[in-house]
This record gives sequence, C-alpha cells and structure tokens, in this order.
Amino acid sequence: MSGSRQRLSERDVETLRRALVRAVARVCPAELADRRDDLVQASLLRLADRWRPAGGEGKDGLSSFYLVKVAYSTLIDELRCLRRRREVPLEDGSAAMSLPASEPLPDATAQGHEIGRAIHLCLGELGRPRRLAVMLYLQGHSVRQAAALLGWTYKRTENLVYRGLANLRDCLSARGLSP
Amino acid sequence: MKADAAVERLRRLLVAAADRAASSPSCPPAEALWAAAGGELTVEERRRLVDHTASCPACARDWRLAVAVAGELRRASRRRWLRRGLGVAATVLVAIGLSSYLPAPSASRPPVYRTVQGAGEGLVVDDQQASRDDCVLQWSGPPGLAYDLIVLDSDLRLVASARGLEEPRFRVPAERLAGLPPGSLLYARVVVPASSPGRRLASQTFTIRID
Ligand SMILES: [Zn+2]
Repeated sequence: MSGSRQRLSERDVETLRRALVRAVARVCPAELADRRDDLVQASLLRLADRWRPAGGEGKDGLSSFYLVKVAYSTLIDELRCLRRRREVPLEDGSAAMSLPASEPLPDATAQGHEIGRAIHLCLGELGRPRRLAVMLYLQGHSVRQAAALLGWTYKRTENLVYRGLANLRDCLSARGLSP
Repeated sequence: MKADAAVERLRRLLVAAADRAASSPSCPPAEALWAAAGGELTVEERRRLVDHTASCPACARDWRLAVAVAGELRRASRRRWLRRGLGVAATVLVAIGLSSYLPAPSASRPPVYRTVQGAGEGLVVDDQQASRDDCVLQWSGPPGLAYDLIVLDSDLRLVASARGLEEPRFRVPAERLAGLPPGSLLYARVVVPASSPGRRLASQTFTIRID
C-alpha cells in the first residue's frame, strides 16, 4: 500500500476527474461553476507522477484508497486557497437578524447565505449531542448513518435529530427567520 | 424518519452558508475530514470533527464534498463492476466491497451474492439479510491482504471480531447471534491495516439484518 508504488491508468484518472467534477458541481454549484475544471485539474496534477502513461489498468488503480484521499485533499487545499482570498467571517451579524421573515427566501442569494449562517449560529446553541445529530442529518446523512458515525443507537439518534430540529426552528424564529 | 420539505429547505440553506466561506488555521486537515466522513478514526474524533463542521461552513462544505466524491466513485465503480458481471471479485474504488454471502442450498448451484451494487450514496449500506444459523460475510478486495473484521449489534456492542483473515470471508458464530431478537441489525466493517498511519483500506459500514 505504499504511495510510491501506486499507479493510476489514464482511465482511472479520467474516472477520478469526472467524479471530482461531479462532486464539486453538486456541492458547490453556483460559486465555482467557472472554476470547477481548473480546481479538479490542479488537484489531479499533484497525482501526475503516479499516472501510468500507457493505457490499461494501473496496478492499484482507483482501488487505492490512499490515492483517492490524496485527490480529495488536494482539491480541498485548492478550494481553501481560493476562498482565503475572499474571506467572510462567521459572526452573529445584524444582516441575518433584519431579514423580513414573511418574504420568500431564495437559497442561492445573499439572503439564503445569511440564513444558512444563522443555522450554523443556532446549531452552536444546541446541546452537543443534538448539535452533532442534527448537523449530520442536515448534511444529508440518514439517521442510521448518523448513528453509526456518532456511535449512538438508532433510537437515540432519531430522538436527538427530532428534538434538535425543533430547537433549531425555535432559534431561527427567535431571530426573525422562518425558513 | 423521512426528511420533509422543511428539512430539505434547511439543507439547501446550510449549503448556501458555505458560499464564500473561508477556512481558518484552526480547521482540521482535509485528510481528517475525509477519514471521519468515511467512518474512520475513533468515535470521539469523529464527533469532534462533526462539531467543528457545525460551526464552520467551509468545513461543512468539505465534509459534503468528501461524501459526494465517495458517492461518485462508488457509482463509477458500480458501472464498471456491473460491466464485468456480478459476483466477480472486483475491487470497489473507495471501499472494499462487502457482501452478505448466502450459501448455496446445494453443491450444484452456484453461490448467490447479495451485492452492495444497488446501495445508495450513504456511508452505511443498509439492510442485507442473513440467517442467524448461517451468517457468512464475504467481501472482495485486492489479493494478498490480511483483513480485520468487526461486527457490532445496533447498540454497538461487540458481536464478533477477527484479525488477520487471509480469506475474504467470515462466519459469524451462531452462538454469538443466539441472544439477538429476530430482525436485529448488525454493523460490519472490514479494514486492511497498513504499515503506516493513514494508509489503510477500510470498507463502508454495512448493516445486516438477522432473521
Ligand atoms: Zn473549519
């Protein structure tokens, strides 16, 4: 499993590139639309010395957990560099507090962005178990997945998610937000 | 518990929070997020990282990205594997494929694999069925490896474990399952320990329902 012996075929690289592009498109659709390919390309370039020039399967190919982790990590590094240049601090700003609750709240707008940040702030006010369970649930994990990741039973996790979501809604309402 | 429209809305708004969010020097390395989202590390380390994502929109996005990359590669693997035919000892991309092996009722009939190919995107693959009297777990991975296996019940109590398995299969002793109620869930995970930290193979966590 040594990193230096692992090789990717051209087909592996193409599979990995497509997977990274799709993942970035799903997770960061609006903001990075114009940079998506560049970011992925930059992360793959760091794997260049592990490419196998001719066709065919690499010895380890994409079965190499290590190489996929490297690709992911370099992608995140690129993303972090990009964002560092235009940092927005997370703090309890007045913008979120002053949003009119009665109007529709478009997700991909400044309003959606501010409410999203208010969600993070409200999560910080929950007790830790509820916060962890709700966070994973809002990240798209099922209750069963969250239970496995957090080391709790299904029942306990389900209960934490249910109560935590209610707390979260109360917190957002108290801030004048009703998403 | 099904996510309703209100939850979907909260999820979209959480995604929106990551727009232009920057990471800070206190953010964990990407490798740690990848490992935690994949169910590696200790439970407390995973909790600590999830806690960080709750306060950090940038790392929350990076976590989602880890899940998405793993999901995309799994889909690509599924397509490739399906082309080769089910039951072949192919290697899954990110995870070692783990399947519940249903023994053939007679020697003349080939074994039937309940593969994980139809599994969803999650890091836990749900509900394969197995008989408590004949619960054989079988998985696939690169040749020449020794596998560690751990099987837990739904309260995360140890049901069975094994180290250094040279064959990619393990029979859960029937006596270890005797006290479990019908329909109980087991969680199983296969790991190939590595000589250096951070370079190991690990399967997804699979749930197996015992009859
Ligand atoms: Zn962070």
